[in-house]
Amino acid sequence: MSVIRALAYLWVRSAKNRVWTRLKRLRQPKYLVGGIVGILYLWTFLFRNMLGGRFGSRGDVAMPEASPDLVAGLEVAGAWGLLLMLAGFWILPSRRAALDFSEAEIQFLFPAPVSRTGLLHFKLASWQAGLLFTSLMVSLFSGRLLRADGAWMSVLGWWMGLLLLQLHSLGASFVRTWLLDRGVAHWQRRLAVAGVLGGVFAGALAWGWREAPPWPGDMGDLEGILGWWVEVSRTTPIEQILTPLRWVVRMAMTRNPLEFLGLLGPVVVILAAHYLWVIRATVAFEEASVDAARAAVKSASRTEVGGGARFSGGRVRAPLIWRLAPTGPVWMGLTWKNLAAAGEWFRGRTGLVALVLVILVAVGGAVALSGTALAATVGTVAVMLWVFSVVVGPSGARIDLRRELGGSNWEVLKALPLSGWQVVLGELMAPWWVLTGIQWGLGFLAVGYLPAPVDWGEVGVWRRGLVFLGMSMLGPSVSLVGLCLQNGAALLFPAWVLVAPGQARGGFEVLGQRMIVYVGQMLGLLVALVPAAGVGVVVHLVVAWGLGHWIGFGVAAIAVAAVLLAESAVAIGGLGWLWDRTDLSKERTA
Amino acid sequence: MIEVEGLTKVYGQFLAVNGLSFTVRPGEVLGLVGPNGAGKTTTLRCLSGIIPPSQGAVRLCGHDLGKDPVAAKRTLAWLPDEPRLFEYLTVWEHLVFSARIHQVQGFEARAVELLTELELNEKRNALPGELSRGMCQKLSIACGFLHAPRVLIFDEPLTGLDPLGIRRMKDSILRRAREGAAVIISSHLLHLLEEVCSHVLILRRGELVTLGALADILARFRSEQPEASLEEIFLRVTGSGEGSGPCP
Repeated sequence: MSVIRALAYLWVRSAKNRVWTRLKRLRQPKYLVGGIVGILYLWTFLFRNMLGGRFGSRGDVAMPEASPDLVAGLEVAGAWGLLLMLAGFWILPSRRAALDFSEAEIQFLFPAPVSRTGLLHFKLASWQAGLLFTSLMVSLFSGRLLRADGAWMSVLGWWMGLLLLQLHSLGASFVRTWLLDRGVAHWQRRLAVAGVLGGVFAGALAWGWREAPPWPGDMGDLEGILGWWVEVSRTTPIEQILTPLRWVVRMAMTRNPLEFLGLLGPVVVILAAHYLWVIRATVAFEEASVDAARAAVKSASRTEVGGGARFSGGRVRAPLIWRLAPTGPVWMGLTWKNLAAAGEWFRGRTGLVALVLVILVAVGGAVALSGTALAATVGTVAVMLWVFSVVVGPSGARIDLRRELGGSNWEVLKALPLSGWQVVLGELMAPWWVLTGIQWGLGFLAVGYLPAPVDWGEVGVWRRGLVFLGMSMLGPSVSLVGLCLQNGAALLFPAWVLVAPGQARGGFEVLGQRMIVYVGQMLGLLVALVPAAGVGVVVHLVVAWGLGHWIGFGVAAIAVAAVLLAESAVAIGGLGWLWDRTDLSKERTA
Repeated sequence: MIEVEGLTKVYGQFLAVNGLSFTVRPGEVLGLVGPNGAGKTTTLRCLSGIIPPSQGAVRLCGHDLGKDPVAAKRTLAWLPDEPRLFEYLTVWEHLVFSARIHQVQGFEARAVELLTELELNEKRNALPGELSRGMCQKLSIACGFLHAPRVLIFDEPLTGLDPLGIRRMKDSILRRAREGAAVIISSHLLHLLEEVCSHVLILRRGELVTLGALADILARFRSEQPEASLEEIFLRVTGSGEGSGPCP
């Protein structure tokens, strides 16, 4: 009992001190403004609607009912998603069982007279707050939390689903470790799991093939294929296999309290079985947990991208894709360094071989599939991905200042003999080049595969070339503006990004800051796009008058890109000025 | 040469360093010592251009760090207590990167020499995650030495090194001082500082308590206590030991 009390004390005091630290941080004006905006946001979108009846808001307004077919389809899709995640826990990981203890927890708890079960209970309990918060957020963003009916069912349902994932992930990691200790290699386990799963589903499909609906036939008919897959999952023995997972998904979806309570029993049994599996497993997780904690601290205190440290057993690495000469533009050293962080694609011939393969497949496919529904689907997906990479890419490709600020390597950068603009330029170029490469590839696919719209007339190779030119100019230039805005936000609100090992990521004032920054970024993008678009329209009108719309489009795209690049150059200069004058150590003490 | 005039650093209401002034000439090795929280690391960070001072000026080899930071930093190597390395660059790639940043032509021969000196040759293709802490520290040192800096700033440089590494590090620091570098070392290992430093600066609560040539300071204290070591002097002037009292 004393151990449980001690662990409870640790948890409660840590939570209390974390809140107190955040409250103290509100003494800084920018955090205070962030806090106020955060509270207003929570009030407007969360509490006011939850308490809608008393405060006269729209909380009691019922949302339109989804059709039973849609609900059934979502349920099946959810069950498949859950199944894939559960299977992933068995197939994908290659590390031993490890729990995410902090270094302090390891130092104090591992040598302490706490049983292994006690440690497991401590971890399981400490995860629940995070799972509940995630459930709350998912329910909020899915709109369920704003409804008078079913908010609590959504939160509880999501929480139980996430708990199932968490327990299964842990249990699977214990079994993986157990197998490893008995000489079963990763590839053997992966092959066995994939074989068993594939065999079970193939068997179930073969068993119920006569009841299954007919295959749609056209590989390009994605909607038809998806509909067929849902029907197969509901009419063949696959339905029985998916049933337990559908219960879990159904719990998060239902708005009927009686149905929810009816599902509660079986889902609790599933969770209890998982709990017993985890608690009774006799697999040592301590050593791997110590390694994982150390790796987490290392990766938090150094510049890293895309996961933790890679241990390759001292194998010889291919050099980076280009040899960095000791002289030349200094900022390019930073770009070179950041591209190394982008992964093996930039080492040796891996990236070049992949690029050549993509081009060959794209050209071959475009010729072979010309005019088919599948070609149109590929082209449409390429356009959607292109738009996604242009708009969302800059927030995802973080091999720049944001990563440096997240660790402690900003100190190294500050001590380098570089001007602020050189640091910012060097840091921004790596994600920009990566995004540019992706966007050019997607643009190439899009113009190669998409059929011409009916009223565009004949779209020959040179016209497709002009569209490709436009996409190649516009996408990267908009992304560069986005990268400037993202990095500018990180520099203006460094405490938002700076995450020391063991430091909490932030509270409601960070929520407010994120919204301020998000709105600021949207406004910034708008401000940058308006003059560029204006120039583009004028150039298009002038050129199209003499040379036609297609050439007008190509030239206008170049003009728009030139304006956006000029704006980015000014922004990089400004960010450099900010970099030189920002005392990041003060953010550490905030 | 390192020239510091009226260096002051304030965090909110907290005065971390107050009006510090001193000079380190070429060939001198200044030991910066003080109790925990005395302002040593803050001082070193200000001298390295990592954080701006609230007041005062720092000149490295005649270049004002506030007005011409790039020129000043070209002369500098800052070696922190915890090696800050890039997770996805190998040992050799760290040196390539450092060479580009400092524009070191024909760096390869010097890089090989440094790797040999620091016993890292066999690890040239290893990532930092595959190195021990001591090796990471050695790599950090190799990167710092690559451009032959004239100003060297060390924060606890011997942490993580094995006894042989410590001896080589001390020899290396002394050799670079003899070659004309101005060196500042912050460390709690006072007996080691006594072997390496020509000068000592003792800080307490951000204030300069004692500054001067090590030999002079020892002589001053030994007039009262013949066997006084730097450790005893430190304890006395910072009020940390039994024999604490005012500076003679």
